[in-house]
Amino acid sequence: MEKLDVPQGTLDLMILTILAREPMHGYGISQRLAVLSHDHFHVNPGSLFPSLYRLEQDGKLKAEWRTSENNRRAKYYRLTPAGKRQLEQQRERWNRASFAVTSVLEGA
Amino acid sequence: MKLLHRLASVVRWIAHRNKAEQDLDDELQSFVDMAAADQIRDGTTPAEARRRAMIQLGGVEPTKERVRTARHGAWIDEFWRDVLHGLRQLRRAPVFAVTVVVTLALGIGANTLAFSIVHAVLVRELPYRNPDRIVLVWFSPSDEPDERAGATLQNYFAVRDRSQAFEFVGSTSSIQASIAVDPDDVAGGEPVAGQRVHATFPPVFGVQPVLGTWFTDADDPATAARKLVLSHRLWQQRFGGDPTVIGRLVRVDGQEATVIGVMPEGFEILNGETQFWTASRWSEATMASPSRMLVVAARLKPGVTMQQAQAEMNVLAGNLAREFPQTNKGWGIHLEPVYDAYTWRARRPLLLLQGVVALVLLIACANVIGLLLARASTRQQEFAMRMALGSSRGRLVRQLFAESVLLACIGCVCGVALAFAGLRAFMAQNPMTWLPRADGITLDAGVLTFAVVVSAASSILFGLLPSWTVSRRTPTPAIKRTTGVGGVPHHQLRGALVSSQVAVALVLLIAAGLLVNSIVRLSLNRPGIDPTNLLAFQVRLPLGEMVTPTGRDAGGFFTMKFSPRVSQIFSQIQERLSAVPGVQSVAASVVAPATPAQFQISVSAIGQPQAADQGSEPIGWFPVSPDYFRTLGVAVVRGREFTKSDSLASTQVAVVNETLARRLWPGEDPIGREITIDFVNDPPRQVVGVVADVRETSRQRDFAPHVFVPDAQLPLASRGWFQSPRLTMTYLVRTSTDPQPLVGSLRSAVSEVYRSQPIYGIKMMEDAMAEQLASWEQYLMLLGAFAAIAAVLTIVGVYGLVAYGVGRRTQEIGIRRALGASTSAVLRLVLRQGFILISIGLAVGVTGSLAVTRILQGLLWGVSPTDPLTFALVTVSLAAAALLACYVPARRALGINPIAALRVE
Repeated sequence: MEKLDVPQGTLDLMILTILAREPMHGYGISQRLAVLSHDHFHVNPGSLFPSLYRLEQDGKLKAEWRTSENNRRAKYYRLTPAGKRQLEQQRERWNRASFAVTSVLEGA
Repeated sequence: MKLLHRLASVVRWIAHRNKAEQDLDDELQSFVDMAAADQIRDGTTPAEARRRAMIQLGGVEPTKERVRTARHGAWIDEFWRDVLHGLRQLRRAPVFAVTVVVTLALGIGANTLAFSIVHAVLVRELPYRNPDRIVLVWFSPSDEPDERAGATLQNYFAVRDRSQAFEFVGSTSSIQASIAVDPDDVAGGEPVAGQRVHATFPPVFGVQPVLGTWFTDADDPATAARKLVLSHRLWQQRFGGDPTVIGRLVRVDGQEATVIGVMPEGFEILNGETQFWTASRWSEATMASPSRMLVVAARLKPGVTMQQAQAEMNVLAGNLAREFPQTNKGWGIHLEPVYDAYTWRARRPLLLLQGVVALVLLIACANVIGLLLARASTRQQEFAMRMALGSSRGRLVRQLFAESVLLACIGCVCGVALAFAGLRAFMAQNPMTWLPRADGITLDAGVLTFAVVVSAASSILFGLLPSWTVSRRTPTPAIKRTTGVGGVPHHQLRGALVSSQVAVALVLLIAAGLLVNSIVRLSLNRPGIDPTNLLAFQVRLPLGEMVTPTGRDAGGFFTMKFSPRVSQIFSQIQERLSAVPGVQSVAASVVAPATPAQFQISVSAIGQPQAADQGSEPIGWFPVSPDYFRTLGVAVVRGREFTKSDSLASTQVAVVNETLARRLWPGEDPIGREITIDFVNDPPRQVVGVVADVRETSRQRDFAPHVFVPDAQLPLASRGWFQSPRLTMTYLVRTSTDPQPLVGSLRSAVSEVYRSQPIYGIKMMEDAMAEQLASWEQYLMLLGAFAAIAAVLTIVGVYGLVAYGVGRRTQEIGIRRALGASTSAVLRLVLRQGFILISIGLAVGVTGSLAVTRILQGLLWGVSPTDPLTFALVTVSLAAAALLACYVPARRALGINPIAALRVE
């Protein structure tokens, strides 16, 4: 099946959503994203890591090295309170936008 | 808050860059490991799993690069890395680096130096309160409206009391006086320049003294005149900066005076030489004086424009012409902002200088662009490789740009150092004699800012162009091809650069050539006296002992009687000096020779019909001693010169120069004719000699009419304005060898005759005459140096282009040689391009010069702005130098060994 491009500006929202459930490392986020999107989205590490680094730098995420479930060292990201607020804002905005787009598409 | 957070994170990132890089490495590694582990679990072999994981990651380095650039503050980090990388690149190409830095340093240094002068003279605000509100009120004859003549006392009071446009009006006049710090020292020593001012003058400028006060009581001229305000310089030099100087008793020209104030450093009014100020003396009796000695300055009332004030002055000038027809008929008034009065003389030469250095910088930048382009094409492989490894084009452009900025920074530092050295050399030449406000020339913050801005602007200029050409290239062909055969896309750009350089350099060189031509002609324009081994110095007799005031005359002038001792003492000094061993002859004159005539007087021939234009041109008047012409080496054409027997008791005589003789008695023998000179109490005189013409200054092209009288025959009864000149005698001593060692014995010879008078103003006439040209020479040296830099840079540019072309075509030339191309064919191949570019440049340069040298008009002397000889000489020289610059690398092309050239790959 053909993969979709991650819509502009939604990667941060999806990362924050995934991390809201539990802290996760980069590989885990990319896997989780594939699973949750029913394999429609495959995010390239070349896009994922820059987003993670920028979110961390903005104080939305906090990173620490931990040992993973299968005994590997990995860098885990978790949401900070600022990250939670950002998630709520972005989700609310996304809901409105998608509702608006759907209304247009169905109403026309 | 968010900003702070980001800033902290940027700082952390930069501070712990190595750790962060390591972290990123580890993270990507763990990503690959986990991806590989998943693959292995699905049954892939470990090696294949790793490969797939790597593909999934999409390359470690590009990913890392994307993470780095995504971070905030990434550009700082990137820039820093680019700078380090640039430094490494420059160290690997030292010849390139040094050439670029030297080129830039010359361009930036020249601009900084020129701007430091322009800044001090033209840009720096005058040290007055709201200087743009201050105007000078000049009087000018209606046929010469730009003339800057002063006001009579009546005119001054009319402007002060009747105008509505001005808040304050004041006036000043120049004087010379000796200042004695010790009140017992009646003689006072060497006179210094000062100004007499009216009490309303200080508020015009709105500057307060650093110590004491200005004059306030000019309404009582009797006491104001005895008060003295010191310049900061005089206070430092003669009073040791004494803070208790206020109230101190000193002597001004032998008269007691009290110091009442000290002006701030750098304060001056139109004349930077001014060392002191005294209050003007005037009274009803002097009101009618016709002399235009006063310079009037005024401060415009708030809200009044120049035009309104000028309109008011036009009306006033009309009224004055009716009220005082004797002094004001045919005279207008024109207002000039004080800034213009300061700068009108210097503005053109200085702006020209700044324009020249701007062109020098353009040439320098063109050279650097050429060098960078050449270098960029040799680095094509490097760039292609970096693009293949994931660098974006923007990234490469930024890197090239960082290198340019690095070069500009080093060039800027070296340029400022050069400017500093140049400025020291320039200031050592004492430019204060010809440049107003030149004492303020420094490399201050303003000038340094200018240097940085110029460097930044040029780095943008030469940094962007090569980056742009690089960024257009696609990687693959560049990696494949290492050395090309022709077909370099930016070669045309370089060619255009070289042509423009040649053109601009030619314009500059022609301008410099015209100026050099002028100064050569000027220095050949000898004044007509022989200055070798001729020494001049001055002796001044004290006013009090030699002059008796006799009241005032009808015109309001002070009148006085000179003591007969004046002439006696002066002639005794002359005799005593003649007896000094080594002295050939001695003469004395009230007016120093080879200087502009100090006194202009009208002369008429008795019994001769007045020529129509006679009396319109004033005639230079020189009271001189016996042996004057012999000492100066001026030929006596007819008759005799003055002797000791010409005294007040004998026949009153005069000598005229050839120009005056021709004018008064065309085609006739002047000897024995009688003339009257319009000088106070001067009797009719008999002409006893005609002398050869002498120029007053070396800039004077035509000879002026001169009349000479024996100083011993000057009438004893005289008027106020003449007292100081009459008591100051310039002695001229002709010696058989260098007169310098004789100064000691000359000094003691004078003091044997008149003990209290020191000699001063000692000058070698040769130096004094050279001094007149000095300002010109200094300016020309500066301009010539800049033009020479432009020429050298251009030659380097031409050389670089051709050498680079030869370098690129080594292989091609080798093949041609191997196939039997003749020497001349190869030379033609290599030289053709350079030759065409130089020819275009020269043609454009000559055309441009014809168009622009007109702006030199006022600066040239005896040379037309389109002087064909200068044009031809300069063009041929530059062409020769440029062709030579082509020929040297072309010779190298001939030496190319075909076998070696083909093995280069």
